[in-house]
Amino acid sequence: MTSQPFRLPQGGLVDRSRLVTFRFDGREYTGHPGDTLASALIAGGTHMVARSFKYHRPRGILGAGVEDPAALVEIGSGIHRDPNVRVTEAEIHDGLEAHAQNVWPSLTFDVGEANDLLWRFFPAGFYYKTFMGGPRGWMTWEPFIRRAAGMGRAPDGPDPDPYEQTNRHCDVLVVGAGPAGLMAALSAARSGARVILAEETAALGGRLLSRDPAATHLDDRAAPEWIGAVAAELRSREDVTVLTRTSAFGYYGENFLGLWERVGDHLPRHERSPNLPRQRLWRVRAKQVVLATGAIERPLVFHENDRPGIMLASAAVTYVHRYGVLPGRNVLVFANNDSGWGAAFDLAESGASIAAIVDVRREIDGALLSRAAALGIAIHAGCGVVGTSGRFRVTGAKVQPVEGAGGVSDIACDLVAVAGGWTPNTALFAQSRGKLRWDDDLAAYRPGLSWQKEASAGASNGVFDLSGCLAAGAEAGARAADAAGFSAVPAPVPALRAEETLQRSIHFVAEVPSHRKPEDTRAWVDLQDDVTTKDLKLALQEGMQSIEHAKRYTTTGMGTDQGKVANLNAFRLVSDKLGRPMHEIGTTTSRQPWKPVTFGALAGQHVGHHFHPRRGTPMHDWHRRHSAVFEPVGDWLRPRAFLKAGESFEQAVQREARAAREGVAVLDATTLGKIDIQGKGAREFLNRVYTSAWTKLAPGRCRYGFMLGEDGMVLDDGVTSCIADDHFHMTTTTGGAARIYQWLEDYAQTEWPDLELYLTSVTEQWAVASLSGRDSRAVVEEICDDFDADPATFPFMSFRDTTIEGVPARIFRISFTGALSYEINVPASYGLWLWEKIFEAGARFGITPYGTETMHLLRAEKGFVIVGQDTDGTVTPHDLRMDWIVSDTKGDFIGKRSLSRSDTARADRKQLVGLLTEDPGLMLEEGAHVIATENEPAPPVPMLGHVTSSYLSPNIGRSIALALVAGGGDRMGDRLWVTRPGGAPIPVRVTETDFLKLKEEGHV
Amino acid sequence: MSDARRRSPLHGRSEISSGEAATVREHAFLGKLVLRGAPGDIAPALRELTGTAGPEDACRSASSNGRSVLWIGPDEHWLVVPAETEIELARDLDSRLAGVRHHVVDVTDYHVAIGLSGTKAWEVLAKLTPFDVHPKAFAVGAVAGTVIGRGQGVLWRPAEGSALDSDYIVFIRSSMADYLWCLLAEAGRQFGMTPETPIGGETWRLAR
Repeated sequence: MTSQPFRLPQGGLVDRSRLVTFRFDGREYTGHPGDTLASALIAGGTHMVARSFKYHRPRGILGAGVEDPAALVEIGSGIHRDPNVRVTEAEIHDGLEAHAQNVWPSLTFDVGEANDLLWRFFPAGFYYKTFMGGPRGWMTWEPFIRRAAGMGRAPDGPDPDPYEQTNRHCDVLVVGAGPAGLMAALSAARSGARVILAEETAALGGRLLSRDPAATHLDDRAAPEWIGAVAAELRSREDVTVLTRTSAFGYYGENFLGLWERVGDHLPRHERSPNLPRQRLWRVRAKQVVLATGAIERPLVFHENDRPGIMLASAAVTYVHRYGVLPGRNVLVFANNDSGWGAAFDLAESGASIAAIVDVRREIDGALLSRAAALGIAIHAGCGVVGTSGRFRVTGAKVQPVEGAGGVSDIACDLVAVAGGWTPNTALFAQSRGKLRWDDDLAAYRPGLSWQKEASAGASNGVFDLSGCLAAGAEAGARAADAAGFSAVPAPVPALRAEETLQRSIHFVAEVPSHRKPEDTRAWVDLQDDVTTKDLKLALQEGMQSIEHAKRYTTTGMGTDQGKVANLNAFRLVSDKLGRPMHEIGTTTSRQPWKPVTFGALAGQHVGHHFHPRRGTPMHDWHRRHSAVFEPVGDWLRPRAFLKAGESFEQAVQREARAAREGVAVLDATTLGKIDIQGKGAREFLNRVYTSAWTKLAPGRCRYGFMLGEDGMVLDDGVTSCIADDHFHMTTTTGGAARIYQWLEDYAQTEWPDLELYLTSVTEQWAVASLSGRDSRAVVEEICDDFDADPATFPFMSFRDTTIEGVPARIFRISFTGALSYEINVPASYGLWLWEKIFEAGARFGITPYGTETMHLLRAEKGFVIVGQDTDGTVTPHDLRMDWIVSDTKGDFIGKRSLSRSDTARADRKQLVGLLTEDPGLMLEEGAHVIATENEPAPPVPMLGHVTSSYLSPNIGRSIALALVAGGGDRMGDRLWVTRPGGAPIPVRVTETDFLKLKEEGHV
Repeated sequence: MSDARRRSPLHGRSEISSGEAATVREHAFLGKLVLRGAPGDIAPALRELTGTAGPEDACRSASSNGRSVLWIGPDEHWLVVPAETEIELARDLDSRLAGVRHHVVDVTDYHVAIGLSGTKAWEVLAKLTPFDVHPKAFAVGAVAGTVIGRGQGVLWRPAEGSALDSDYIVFIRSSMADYLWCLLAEAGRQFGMTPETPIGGETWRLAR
């Protein structure tokens, strides 16, 4: 046990029967299960664990939990590296490897320490002032500054660990399992309410665990025993969830809280269950919340108060009683209130010698004085620590009366325990939008007005005595359960035998007075961000007088600790310097998260192949087996082309496009949106949502239509078929399916309920195969039961119901391509069967599957537009030169009024035209700009429009393009140019958009 | 007898179980109809054809002899019936409701029904939905449309009369069934379910 020279012979909640070996900064240490890195390092005599952010000053362990500002290390390496871990929170396990961060080459010999020698030249706002100038300003300097100032390094690769999110609803959520939280959970649980108790550390008990168990009895049981009984009762209840290692990190609207559970971090990797996540995020919706988040002790602000070995008095006591280690053998206690004295007595009785108690107050309670005298402790009342010595560990303190001209005495010590008073932990309360209230007696802010359904209990509410905390917790738990609809009584408060020295008659000073010249004083307010009183004073001098400005100028209260111990001291300094009371200074804003949460936990299980749904059709597996190359369309994965062996993507598209006209090719069109519309006003509904007239569409017939937004711009397109006079089958674009359905439902329900129609999405009820090409008729006739597909009697834009081997099928004579087409619909579960049947029947015609890229090319050959490619939300049907699709004679329709606005009606709007390059082999770039001059003029270049679609067309035998061009309809035959980067503009001829017709007529 | 030519999106997946804790299985080809109409108008036809007039309260279901009526919205119910009885029921409803404002649509193939059972089934589901699925809050007979994973679905606790032996049923659109299936397996891992890998491995091409 010699490797743990500061381990006390007994005490603490660690398991002394087992030894744990770990490494920190290259050195081997031992500890026991139950130790944190901090307690085990202290047992080994190590206090210095880090370097500070800016000056690279040695940083030690100030706290014993989440409050510690700067004792940050990296744990693990490579892809498992976890940076910025607080040593006061990380639990040790066998094989744990921790490293100092922000040091080079090592913790004790660090080149960056040179920054500290230059401290006078790094005032607050230094970066703003210095680096905003220069040729490229901040951009020039940023890389250097980022390298010099810093935190830990990110892991080297993607995180291999599993994470998980889960959701819970509860009646009462209790945050914090200290005395108040335990009593609150108990009271609520006994009423039968669903209760979640979330404790940030590994063990229940909170501050009770920091007390001498021999001197703390609840109902005649030592504290750990009492805690065990409460925990056992809570865990035995079915509706109670007790979570340890779980931080409530965010309090959001409507009593929604985020809890972050470290499920496996405390275990060596090989002991972690492969079926459990490393960390779990709980998304909790609570009817009532009890915040029993305790209080945090503040350090004192004095010259050279940042040395390793300067520790919160409460933390020193916690190390003794919770972990069984002595943080120092020769302790100087420095206090501004009574609680520090209690810590001194406790440490003295635990085997430390107390070098002195220094108190800034002159008047000290008599009982404390006599007890100190009885213990033989030297007392320096009315004095302050005005300086310290020691490099990697404090070796002594300079003590001087705060008033008058008393001399300085040097007192040797290896620990300075500072007791600056207690700050109720109101972070979550403030996140919940609760209003804080300044309390002069408490010298701290405490919860004032609640905004959500929560209550603070115990120390977080400014109640510091143990019996008060127990009673307040019981009361709050019962009230919360009552408010959630249960009938609860507060759990009886245990009879208490405990000795307490609470914060009393505090003298809250922002900075310990000294005779030192202010410019020579380095008194840290924020240990993580290296902010001193000098920085804050400078900020105020320079006009940053709002506390939010002072924070941002100095960075006080920023970083991974968010100033948990620093903030109130900073506020106090601002208050003193401005001569305004604390409640006028206010506070900075507490935001989520309370502490850093890993991205892994926030992403949860929704990573890798569970990242997002990838929707596939019933034929998807066939496509995969036939070398389809896919593209995402919304959440769908659609085949873009089917590649044959040795074939390029472009070659495949050309082959498929030829087959779709000259032979037979088939497209999986399942993904198109489908809506079943039925009701007496269904026809009138179509009249109002489409631009064309639907009054005369007979049953069995189909019509292509445009829907416009209220702004008159094309929103979606599709074919709708009349099944019966009051029954229609609508199709929409794949990407528009969900949006259009909701939009139509909105109109049907809220604008035109008198039409008495119902809409139901049937997108996925039907699998759809669209056959195109000369031979498609033969294939359809072969697979259908006794079906005549003769286009003369089964004309374009009509449909028939039939059967395929008895399976009901609906066949539409509609087309994406302009070639002879049949679209076969069967119930989706028959989709793959149909698809395979089509290939069986089509084999003798060399049937070709084709993808979306080919479909896009085919429709461009015919001049069919794609909504969203050839339109962009600023295009009317007239802009597409499809005036025929807008009925002027029928009644109103959505967007009609907008079409007559002067801007939408003007003649020189951009209009859709065809473009043919003079060089037929040259393909235009989609998105390229159309200009009117042979040479590209100097910017800003006057632009006529842009290319929306461009392809190499096998059926036209050359390149083709569609473009939106200003006044395009009047430019037929004109010569224009299309720009390209790094080359002369390409000359093009403006044409109509139906290239097939142009070819037929010999224009191409 | 089910038609061998039909194929569910979960074809090729088989029940995953971790014993008492949780089991995930598909109720393949369960018949599903959307019935829209004012509850008062449709109740007599429902009682006649399904044995129940439908649930009296929102977010509830009523079941009888293997036929269930689920409340989806003020004028929307789902009918969940044994496989391959839905077409006849749709026809009967249409003729029985002639002249009454209504809408019957077969959505059997639109939605896949995934069943969850076991003591931890609710905890498995809770990992995927913000809705309160605790057995006390979401009692037998309850129905809710909500978010499941990154998708959208309907949750249901079928009662005895439904003749469905799952504690929970999730209806998810067919194209997302495989995604949800694998996500459920992942959620059940804590209780010993074996992970399943979603259909994948496609070659993508995004560029022109």
